[in-house]
This record gives sequence, structure tokens and C-alpha cells, in this order.
Amino acid sequence: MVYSLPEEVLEHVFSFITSDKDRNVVSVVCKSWYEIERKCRRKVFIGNCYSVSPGIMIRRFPEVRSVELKGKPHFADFNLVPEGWGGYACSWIDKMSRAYPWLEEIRLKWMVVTDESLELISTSFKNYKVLVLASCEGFSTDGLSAIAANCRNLRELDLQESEVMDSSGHWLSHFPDTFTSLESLNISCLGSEVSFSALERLVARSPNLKTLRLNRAVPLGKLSTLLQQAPQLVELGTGAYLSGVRSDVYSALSKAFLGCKELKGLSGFWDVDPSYLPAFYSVCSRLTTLNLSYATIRSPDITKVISLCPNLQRLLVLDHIEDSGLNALALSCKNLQELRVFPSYLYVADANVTLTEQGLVSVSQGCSKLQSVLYFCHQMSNSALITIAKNRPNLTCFRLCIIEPRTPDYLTHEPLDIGFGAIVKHCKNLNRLSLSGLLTDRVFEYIGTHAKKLDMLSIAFAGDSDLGLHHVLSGCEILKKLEIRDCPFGDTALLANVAKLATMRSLWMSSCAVSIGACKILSRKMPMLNVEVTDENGTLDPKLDSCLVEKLYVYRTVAGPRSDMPGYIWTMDRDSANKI
Amino acid sequence: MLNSRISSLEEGSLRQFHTQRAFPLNIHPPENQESSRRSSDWSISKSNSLAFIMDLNYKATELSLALPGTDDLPEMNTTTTSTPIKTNKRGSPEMGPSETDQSRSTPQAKAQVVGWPPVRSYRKNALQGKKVEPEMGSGMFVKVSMDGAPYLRKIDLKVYKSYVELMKSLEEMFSCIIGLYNENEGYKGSKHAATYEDKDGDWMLVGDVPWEMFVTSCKRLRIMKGCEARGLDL
Repeated sequence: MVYSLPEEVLEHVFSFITSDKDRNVVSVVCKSWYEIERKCRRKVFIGNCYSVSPGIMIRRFPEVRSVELKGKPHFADFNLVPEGWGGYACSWIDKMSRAYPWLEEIRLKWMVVTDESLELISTSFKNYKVLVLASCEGFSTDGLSAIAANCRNLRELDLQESEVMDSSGHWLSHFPDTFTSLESLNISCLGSEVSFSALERLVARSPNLKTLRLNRAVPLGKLSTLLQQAPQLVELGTGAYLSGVRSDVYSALSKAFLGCKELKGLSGFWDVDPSYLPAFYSVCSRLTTLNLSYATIRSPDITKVISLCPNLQRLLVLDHIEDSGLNALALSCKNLQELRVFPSYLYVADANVTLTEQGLVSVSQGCSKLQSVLYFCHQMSNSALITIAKNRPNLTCFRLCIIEPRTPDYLTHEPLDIGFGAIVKHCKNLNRLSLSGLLTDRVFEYIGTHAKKLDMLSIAFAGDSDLGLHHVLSGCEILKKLEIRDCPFGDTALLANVAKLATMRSLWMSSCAVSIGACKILSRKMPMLNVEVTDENGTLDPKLDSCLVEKLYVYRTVAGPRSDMPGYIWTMDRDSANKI
Repeated sequence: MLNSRISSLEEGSLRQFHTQRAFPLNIHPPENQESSRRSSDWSISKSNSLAFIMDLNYKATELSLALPGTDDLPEMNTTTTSTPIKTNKRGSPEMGPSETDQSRSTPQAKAQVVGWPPVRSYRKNALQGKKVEPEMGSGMFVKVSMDGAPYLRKIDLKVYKSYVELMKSLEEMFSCIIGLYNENEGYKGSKHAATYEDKDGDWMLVGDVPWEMFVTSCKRLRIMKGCEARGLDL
């Protein structure tokens, strides 16, 4: 007896399945499910825009309403990916503009977007709602003007940390007076001023505005005006948080914050004048997210703020918080889930800032719900790491950056292998890990043995030999993203684990010990991988197999070698190295 | 020859690997500044691994401790150097774009590695931007366009103390007569009007507001041709 549900029923069932991973699983159950699922998929997430072509996506998923793409490798954030590398959104937007007239959402990260593309977006989609450009570049406020002018139903415009060429602050005025659907606006990355009157009018006619992140140039004196127009805000990013000594500004601000009963998240706080901090004390008890990572405030100011926020779940802060502030955090914020502590001075420890491993240990002790940590510091010990691991086995993300490369345990002068080993052993659900400090191959043995749920691993200045890399590639079963810099890992480990690379999204290796010859072999053995070698100095001789490569980027793809590489990138293609 | 190389690599032989590998293991407690600086020098030179491989002499002068038990590394002498400046200089030409924080004075010149510590440029710029006082002591440059001229110019408004000085300078720059608009006399004998774009994006006539207010609100200047300057009776 052939049993099957009608297509419409299955489609209806599938409509409740929204996560990409679940959808992918559904699609491989059987052929008919594949066909039904693909026709009703509404959201597509593509973690590496070169892993697939726009044409392939469009052919498989004809009814998409939301697309999310990522372009450059993560290390692009740290200037390791040279100019012109790629990640162009142009061809994607071009093809989508023709194939998806009902597309509503585009989210791009680490991609190059042009004004022409933005204009195309603004005119091609009848019901366009969401544009998120995170860490993108290549466009100016002219492109934003087009979006503003033409997207009548726009709900969200988020320019998170993008590099925007500012030609004028006028683009905001291009939102027509009839435009009232805005729910979220993030312009915090814009360098120059926007027209405040246009901004004010926009906020005033957007009753659904929930998120507003201003740029630094919006003066504090004007913030209260905006807050009065939008007391329904849930997330606010301030501009510069100083205004000379102005009691009228202070009282207006204080009053405005009192009116914001829904506010749950605060950010911005550029250039903070501590005397204005009490103005927002009235919202602290409701805050779940606080981003003070651009504010150079110290104790007692910062400790006071934290002690007023018992419901805090997410805190981003500079190392000015010091151990004392973190102790206060551990006492006051029992619901804390995520902590990020950024360095204020990037190279040398500031003698006035006492942030050590103790602060993190305190938080790990006091905050039982802590899951995600990003911590920059100057010293660490194995015993501290072991304590943290035992305190918080529920950690899912642990990123530690000891600022000086190869710093050993400051107490015992030993490598930090056993410390990180304890982390991976106790934190069984760890999916993201970044290593630093002095580390030998042993730490990788621990990682390969215990970190079975690891999805992303970042390694720098660590390890002794290929054995280290081999442990990771052979042991971490579901590893998807591996990025390595300045480690003595090379050909042997890479070639012993070629099959693994096809199960991963990508591998980045820079300043390691991989040779051209190995890259050619890898490419020959694994035709489904793109093996890209960077040669910025122009010293690479592709015929000389023993030549070491500066940067290697390997990723799986069904789209073949890409055609938009700059001149300094070679693709290893079956028999030889090719430049486009 | 290629085939034998390939098979040796595929067999997992470490022979080929060892001849290429030249990474001294630096393990030294950060007791003094010199040793911690050395470790970052190592990483700078590592990023040019080709030169590093070829130049074994370089390796011999490297000051570092080998990890006990590793016998594939040459014995190295450990000497505490009293010339920290020397190690710095060796490192510097091989660095990528340096990320010095100009506005902060550090007690010693620290060698900097590209992309380390892993802080986004966005954040780095924001932090550095904090240290520099905006618009004070750094000039206030605005673009000046003249209708019909092929190039724009830039002038520093801080240099001038009054409208008269500004106008004189503009006139010299563009070889024209602008003058200041006067309610009674209009633009005396000039065919151009000076306008500026203010913070709100509106185009205003130069001369209406007090000089100090003008300086802080002027974003750019435009010298209009007489025929376009409506209502000015030129």
C-alpha cells in the first residue's frame, strides 16, 4: 500500500518548520519531500556566498521571501583579507531582482554592495521590507537615498558596522511623508551628520519604531526630543553622550527616559560624560542588554550602573570595568548569559586598568546562566581556566584573547594546554572556541578528544607541529569553520584529512606552513573544494611546489571556481594553479 | 620528481615537512619587556615565511628557547638582550600596515602584528577617534565649489577670524569678486554670491549669522553665479 499525504498537507506541515537546519533535514527525507519542501521554502541562509551560485539557488527555491548571505571570511574583520578579495553582492542582487519579485528581506554580511545594487533593490521588489548590511562596504548615502525613496513598506534598515561613503546627510529626507512603516533603524556606523530635522520627522511618523540606533554625531541635547517622539522604543543606541554642563539637557533627558517604559536595550554611549549617566537610571531595572563597549567610564560609575540592572542578560563593556566591576556584575546580574569585555588599549596593558583573569572567574562563579564569553586580557592561568570550566559547564561560546601572543600561564610559566583542555572537557555543548596564549599540540589533542559539538574554532600563534591540526580535523566531528593564523601547521595534516574539508564550510590558514604542492594535491583529490591561495607579495611561483603560501582559503562549493578573484589570488584547479 | 614528492607527502612522511619547517619555539616567561617583544617579532617575521625559510642565518640569531624534548630544532643560545631597539627594527620592515594609535603615547615602541589583537577596525577606529578632540586644533576644512570651475577647493575655516578675511581669500582663490551682501547696497559690483550648506542641509547666504556660529555650522561653501542667486538683485 502506498501511503502518502497530499502535497498541500505536507506543505502546511512544513510551514511550521522555519529553521534552516530543520528544513535541510526535511528536504533529504525522500524525493517527493525534497520537491515539496523546495517549492515552499521562504528563507534561505547561505553562509558562504561562493558555495553556491544565485542561479542554483533560484532554480531550487522559486518562492523565497528572505535571503541571507555572507561573503568574506571572518578574518576580514581583522584586516587579514586584502582589498578586492571579493564578496560582491552585485550578481546575487541582479539575479534575485528578476527571479524574486516578491522578495522581502535581504541580509548581507561581509559583502561589497554598490549603490546600483541598492537602487535595484529599491525598485525591483514590490513588498520590500528588510535590509541588513552588516560589516559591508562599497556603497554611499546615495544608495540609501534610493532605498528611502522607493521602499514604501520598509520595516528595517540596519547598517551595522558597515563602511558607508557619506556624501550627504540628506538621504533621510528621501523617506516620503507618507512613509510610516519603519520598525527598526540602525545608522550608528555613519560618520557624518544626518539631517536632524528629517530624522525627527521620521521618528515622529513611525508609530511602530522599536529599534533606533543613532550615530555619534547626534548630539545628546537632541536625544530627548527623539525619545519623546518614540516612547515605545525597545532598543536605543545613543549618539555622543556628552553636552557640556547643561542642566536643562540633563533634566529633559531624564524626563524622556522616564517615559520609555518599553526600553530593554541600550547601546551607543560614545564619548560619555559620567555626570549624564544617572539620566537613564530609571530604565535600568528593565534592561536586558547593555552595550557600553565604546564608553571609557570606570568605577564607581560603571559599577553603579551595573548594580541597577538585575535583569541584564547581555553586557558588552571595555576593560575599564576591571575586576572590581566584574565582581559587582557577578553579585548583581544573576541572569547574565553573555559577557564581552573589549580592550581599551590594544597593545600594552594600561597600568591604570586592573582587569585580570580574576574578573572572569568571579563572573563564572556568580552568574549561573552564563553561556557566552568574549574576553580580552593580558594574563591568564591554567587554574583560572579550570575553575571557570568547572563553574560553568553550560558555556557554549568561549573566546579568550590574551593580547600578547604566546603568553604562558603567568603563575607557572607553563603552556595553557590543560586550562583550555578543562574548558572543552567540562563544557560539553561548546560550539565556538577561540584560543590564545602559549599552546602546544597537546591542547589540540584535548580539543579533538572532547570538543565534539564544536562548530567554529579560531587558532592563532599556537601548536608545535602538524599533529595539532590533525587532532582537530580528525577529532572535531561537526566542525564547520576553522580559521588559523601563524601556526606551524602544514601539508601533512592537511592532506591526511582531505575528506573532512568537504564537510566543513571553510578553512582559513594564513602564515602557516602549507606549500603550493599540497594545495595542488588537495585540489586534485577534492574537486568539490575551491582551493584559493593568496600571493600579495607577488613572490609565489606556482610551478615551485615547495613554495609556501601566505594565505589559504578552502571551501566547499557546487559552483566551481569563482570568476571574480583579484590578480593576487590563485585557484588550484585540478592540474595546475590558475589565475583569472 | 613531482611524483616522488607527491607520494612522500601522501604517505605522511615528515621528511619534506621538516626541511621546510623553521619555526623556533619561543617559550619564555614574560619577565621582561625584551622577551615579550621578541615573541611578537617572531610572528612578524613568520608572516613572510618564504624569506624565513631561506635565511637560516636569521634563525641562528633568533633569541629563543627551544621546547625541551624536541630534537629537530637546532640548539639555540638564550641571551637576554640589552638592545631591545635592535630587535624592534628587524621586525618593522616586515610588518603589514601598522595599527599605531597615534594619539596615545606608549612608554616603549611595541612591535605590532597585522590583525592582532583581533579587534574589528570599526571598533579600533572608534576607540582611537575618542582620543582625538573633534574639530579642535585639527582645522576645519570645508569644500568650496564655484559654479563653472572644474575643480573644487578646500579651505580651513579656522584660519579666518571674520567674514571679510574669508571673502578676501575666496576672491583670491577663484579670481572673482564676491563681496558681502548688504541689505542697502546689495552685492556691490560683484556677480557672485557666496552660499553655504549648514548642518541641517539647508543652503544659506553667507553673512547672516555671527562668525563663530557660521564656522561651527558650515559644512561646505558654494559660490553661485549672479544669475542663479535669485532675489539678490545682482
